Amino acid sequence: MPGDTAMNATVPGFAARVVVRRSGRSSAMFRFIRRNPEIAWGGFLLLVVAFLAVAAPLLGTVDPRAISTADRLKPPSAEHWFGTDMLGRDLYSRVLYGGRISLSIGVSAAALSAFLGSVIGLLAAFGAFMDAVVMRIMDGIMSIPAILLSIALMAVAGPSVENIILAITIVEAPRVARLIRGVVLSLRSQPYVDAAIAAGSSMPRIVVRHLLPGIVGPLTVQATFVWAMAMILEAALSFIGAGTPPSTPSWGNIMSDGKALWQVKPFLIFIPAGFLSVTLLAVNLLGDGLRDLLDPRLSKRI
Amino acid sequence: MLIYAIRRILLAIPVMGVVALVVFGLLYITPGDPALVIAGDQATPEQIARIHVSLGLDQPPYIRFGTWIGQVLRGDLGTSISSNQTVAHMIDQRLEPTITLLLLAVLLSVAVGVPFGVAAAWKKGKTADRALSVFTTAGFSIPVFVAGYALAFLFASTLHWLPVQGYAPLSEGLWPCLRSLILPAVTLSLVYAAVIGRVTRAAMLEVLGQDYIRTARAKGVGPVAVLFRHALKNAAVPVVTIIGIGIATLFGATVVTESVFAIPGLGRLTVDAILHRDYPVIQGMVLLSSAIYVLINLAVDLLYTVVDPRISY
Amino acid sequence: MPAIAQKSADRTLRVIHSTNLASLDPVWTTEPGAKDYGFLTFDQLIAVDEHYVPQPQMAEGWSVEDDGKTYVIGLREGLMFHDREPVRSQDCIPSIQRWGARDGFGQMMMRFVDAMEVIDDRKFRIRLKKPFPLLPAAIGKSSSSQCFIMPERMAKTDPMTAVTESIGSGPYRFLREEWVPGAKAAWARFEGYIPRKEPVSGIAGGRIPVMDRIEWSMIADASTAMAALQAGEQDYWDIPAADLIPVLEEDPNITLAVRNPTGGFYMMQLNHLQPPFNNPAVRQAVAMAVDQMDFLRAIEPDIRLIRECDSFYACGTPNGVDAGSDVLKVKNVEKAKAALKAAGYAGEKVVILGVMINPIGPLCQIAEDLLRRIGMNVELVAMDFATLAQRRVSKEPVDKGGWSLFVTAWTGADILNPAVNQLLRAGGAAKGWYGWADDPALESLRDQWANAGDTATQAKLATDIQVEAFKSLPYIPIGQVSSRVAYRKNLTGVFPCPVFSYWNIGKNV
Repeated sequence: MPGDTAMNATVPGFAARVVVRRSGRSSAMFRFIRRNPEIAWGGFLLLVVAFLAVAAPLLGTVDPRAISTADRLKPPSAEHWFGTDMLGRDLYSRVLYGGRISLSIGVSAAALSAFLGSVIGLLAAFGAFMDAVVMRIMDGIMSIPAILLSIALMAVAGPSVENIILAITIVEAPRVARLIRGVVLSLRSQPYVDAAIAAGSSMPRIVVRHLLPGIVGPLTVQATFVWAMAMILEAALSFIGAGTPPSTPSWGNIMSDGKALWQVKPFLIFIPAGFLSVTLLAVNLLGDGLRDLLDPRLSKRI
Repeated sequence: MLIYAIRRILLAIPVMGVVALVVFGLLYITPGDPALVIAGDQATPEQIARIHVSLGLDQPPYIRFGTWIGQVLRGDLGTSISSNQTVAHMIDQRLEPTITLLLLAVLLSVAVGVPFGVAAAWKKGKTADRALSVFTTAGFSIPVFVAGYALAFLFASTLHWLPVQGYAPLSEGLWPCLRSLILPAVTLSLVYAAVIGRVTRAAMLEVLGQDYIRTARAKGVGPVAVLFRHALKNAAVPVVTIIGIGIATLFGATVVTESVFAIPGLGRLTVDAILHRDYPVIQGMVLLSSAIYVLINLAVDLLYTVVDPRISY
Repeated sequence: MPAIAQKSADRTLRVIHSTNLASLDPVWTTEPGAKDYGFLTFDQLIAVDEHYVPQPQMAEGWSVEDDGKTYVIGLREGLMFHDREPVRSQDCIPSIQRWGARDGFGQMMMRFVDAMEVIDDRKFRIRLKKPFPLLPAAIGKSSSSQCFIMPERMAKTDPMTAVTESIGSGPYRFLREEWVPGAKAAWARFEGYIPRKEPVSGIAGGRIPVMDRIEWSMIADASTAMAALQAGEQDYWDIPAADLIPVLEEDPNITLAVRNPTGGFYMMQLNHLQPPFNNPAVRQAVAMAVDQMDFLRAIEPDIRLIRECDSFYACGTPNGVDAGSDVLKVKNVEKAKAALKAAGYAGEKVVILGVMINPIGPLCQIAEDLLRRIGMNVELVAMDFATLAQRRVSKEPVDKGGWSLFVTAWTGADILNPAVNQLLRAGGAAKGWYGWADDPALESLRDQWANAGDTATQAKLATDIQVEAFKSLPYIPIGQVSSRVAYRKNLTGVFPCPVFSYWNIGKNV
C-alpha cells in the first residue's frame, strides 16, 4: 500500500539500513542478491535446471525413447551416465528430456491458471450477482480434492501432456480467482479508484492503470506456488497411474516406472526425484523471496 | 453467531449442488463403461446391454442425475457397481483408517510446524531462520512417495522398529493402531508441517511488526510471553486457516501415502473407484469430501471468533 | 508382535493378493480376484488334473450312455453348503445352466444339450442332441469362468445380475463381515467339508483346508509388498514383481517356486476390420519382424522363465506344437520392411491401445517401437482398462475412435484348445472377440473340431486350425512366461496348480 512506505521511513531501525550508494548497475545487482538471497538462489537453480532441459540435445544425450531390452536396468556407467530403465532406455537422456515436459507442465499450468483465475476474479469483483454465482462455482470446484478432480479429468480427456496442463489449470484457477477477487475488492475500495471512476475513466483504463499494478505482486507469488503444485500433482498422478504415458518421459512418469524397483535400483527413483526436488526448492524459494520483496507490509525486524 | 452458522450452511447448499453437477457431468462424459469391465472379455453385446439395465445405466442422464439426487437427499448413497455393497457401508469401512491417519498427521504437523514458525519469525534474518526455512522448503519439495519409501526402508525394513505396511484398527488397541500409523503420519506431516511452519512464520512476522508488540517489549515483557501470549493469538487467524485448507489439500498426499503403506483408507477407495468407473462410489466420495471441506471451512471461520475476539459475526 | 496376535498369525495363511476382490460372483465377472475367491468358497463337480484330464471332484463319478449322448453324474455322500444344507442335484443343474449362459466353453456345450433332469437328490442326467466328448472337460475346466456349484436359490439368479450371497460348498467359508473390497478378504475353514482322498493334482484331488484361516491383503505397491513378505508380516505373494525376484532369491527366509508350469501367454490382437491390418499381407509383414524374446525379456529378466511359443495354443500342452509357424521364425526387421512395402502399406495410421500397467505397459511400448522400425505410422494411446474395454468395442476407423492393435495376456488354460481360445474365432464382424478376424476356412475347421467324436481326430484338426491360423493371423503370439510365487520357507504343501489355490497349504511354526 502506498501509504505504508512513508510510515516505514520514519521507523527508527530503517535509517540504519540505508546503504551507501555506489554507481553502476552491477553493484545494484549484487546488493539485490545479498538482500534477497531466496530470489537469487531460486532463480539460479531454476536457470540451471531450465538450461539442462533446453540444451538437452547438446549435452550428450541420445533418443530418450530408444528401446533396447538387452540393456535393461544397467547401473550408471560410462556409456549410460545414469544407467538404464526397464526397457533399456538411457536414464540420463530421459531425465534431461523429461525436464522439458515437467517444467513446461509447471510453467504452462501456472501461467494458464494465473490468466484464467485473474479473468474470473476480475469478473467476480465487478458485479454482485456475478460475484455470487462465480464464487459459488469456484467454491464447488475447490471443494473437490485436487487429485480426484485431475484423475477424473484425465480419464475424460485421455492422458497427454496437454490434458494434464488443462486438468491442473482447472483445479488451481479457482484459488487464483479467489485471491484476485480479494485483492481487487480491497483495491477497489481505495480512494484513488473511486476518484478515477468519478472522473469518468473507462473500465479498461481503471483496470490497467490502477488495479493491475496491485494484482501483479500477489499473482506472481501465487503463480510460483501453482507451478510447484502442478509439478507435485503431475508426479502424484503418474504415481497412481493416471499421468502421461511413459513413451514421452517426464520426471513423474520416470519415477512411476521405477517405483516397484526402488529397493534394487534406487537410481531410477532418486535421480528424477532429486531433479524434481531441486526444481521445487527453487520455485518455492523464488515464491518466498518474491513475496518478501513485493509485500511491503512485512516488517524487517521485530 | 448461530444465525451466521445457519446462513453459512444454507450458502453451502448451492456449493454442494455445483459439486454434484460437476462430478456427475464429468462421469457422464468419461469414456469407459463399468458394464464392460464387469462383463469381462467374453460377453456379447446383448449381455452387456442387460447388465446396463440391471445397473440403471440405460436411462438418460437427467433421469439418472435426478434419481441419484433424490437418493442422496433421503440419505442413500447408492450401491457400488463392482462389489454390490452399499456405498455408505464401503465408506464406513474405510473411514477409521483415513481419519485416524489424518488426525495423527495434523497433530504432528501442528506440534512441529507452529513452534518452528514462531522460532523462525523470532530469529528472522539469522542463520536459524534461514536454516529452518530451507528445512521446511525441503519438506515441501520432496515427493511424498519418495519420503514414504525412505522412511519405510529405514525404520521398518532395516531397523524393524515399525511395521512396513498395513493398518491395525483401534479395536486391536490404541498402541498397535498408533504403531501402524507412525510412518504414514510422519510422511504426511513432512509436507504439512512445512506449510504450517511457513504460514506461522509469515503471520507472526506481520504481527510482530505491530506497535503494540514494540510497546510490550519496551515494557519489559519477556520474549516467550510476547511470542505466545500476545503475538501468536493475533497471528492465529491465518494459521488456523491454513490448517483448515491443509486438510483438504492433504487429500492428494493421503492417497499416495495410503498406496505406499497399504492403508485401507478412503483415498485408495476413491482412486480405485475412478479407475473402475464405479460411479456410485465416486459420486458418494466426492460429495462426502466436499461436504467435509465446507464444514471445515465453517469450523475454521467459527474458530476465528474464539481465537480473535475482534472478529464476530 | 503381542502374543495373541502371534498365535493367530500361526494359524492364518496371510496372502498378498495382487488383484482386487470386488465382486463375489465368478460367473458374472471374469475378474481374476473373483476366480480365486470362487476356488476357495465353491467347489466343482469335475476338476481337471495336472494333465488337463477331467477327474471327479464333488461327483462320485459319471457314466456315459447312449453312444455318448447321455451323461449320468452322481454326487459324493455328505456334501454340504456353508449353511449346512446338503448339496443336491437340484443345486447342480441350475448352477450348470447359469454358468453355461455366460462362459464360452459352456455356451458351446449348451448348444449340444437337450435337457438336464434330476434323477434323485444325488444323481442327475444330462441328455445331448449329439455326442460332445468334451463335456467333462468343460464342466471341469480351470480357466474362467469355472463351473462352480451354488445353492439353487443363488444359481437361479439371472446370469446378467450378480449373486449377492457368498454361500458355497468349498473348503473355506467366506467371512463376509471382514471383507473390505479393495483392501482385505478373509476365510475360515469349513468344518463340514469332506475332501477327496486322492493327492492334489492340478485342481483335482483332495482340497484339504489345512490352515484355520486365510487372509488376503491387497497391497498395490510392489516394494511395500516385498518388504512386508521379508518382514514376516505376510506369508505368500501371488504375483511378485519380476524385477524384485533377485532380492527375494537372496533372502534365506523366502522360497520361490513356479506353481503354474504352463504360465502366461501374450499376444498382439489385431483389428481385422480396418486398415492397415485388414490386409493379410500387412499382418504377415508384422509377424516377420517379431522376435518374441525381445518382448519377453522386457518383462521377465530370468531367461529360464521365458519361452518362445510359436503356437496358437499353450506350448507344453498336447496342442502346443509349432506347425505352420514359419512366419514367426523370420525375425528380421529389414525383410519385414520390404514385405510391408510389397503389401501396399501406404502410411495408414496404426493406433495401439495401451494400459500402462506391468507387464502389458512395457509390451505395448516394444510393439510401438517395433512397428515404427518397420516403417509404420504408429501412435500408442495410453488409457486405463475401463476406457480400453470401451474403445476396443468400436469397429470404426481409427480417426473415429477405433483401434488397430492391443496387447493382451491369457493363461495357458485359456488357450488350451479351439473351444476355450476366444481369440481363435474368425467369424468376422458379426461374431468373435474384439478383432473380428474373418476366415471361413478357419471357422469350418473349428466346427469340425467341435463335432469330432474322438480325441485323435480332434488333435489333428486342432493342428490344421493352427496351420490355417498362421496364414490368416487372427492375432500374433508373442510368447510364454512362467511366473513364480514367493512364500516364506515355513509354508508346507505348496503344489503345482494352474490357478491360485490355497488348499493343501500349511505352516510350520
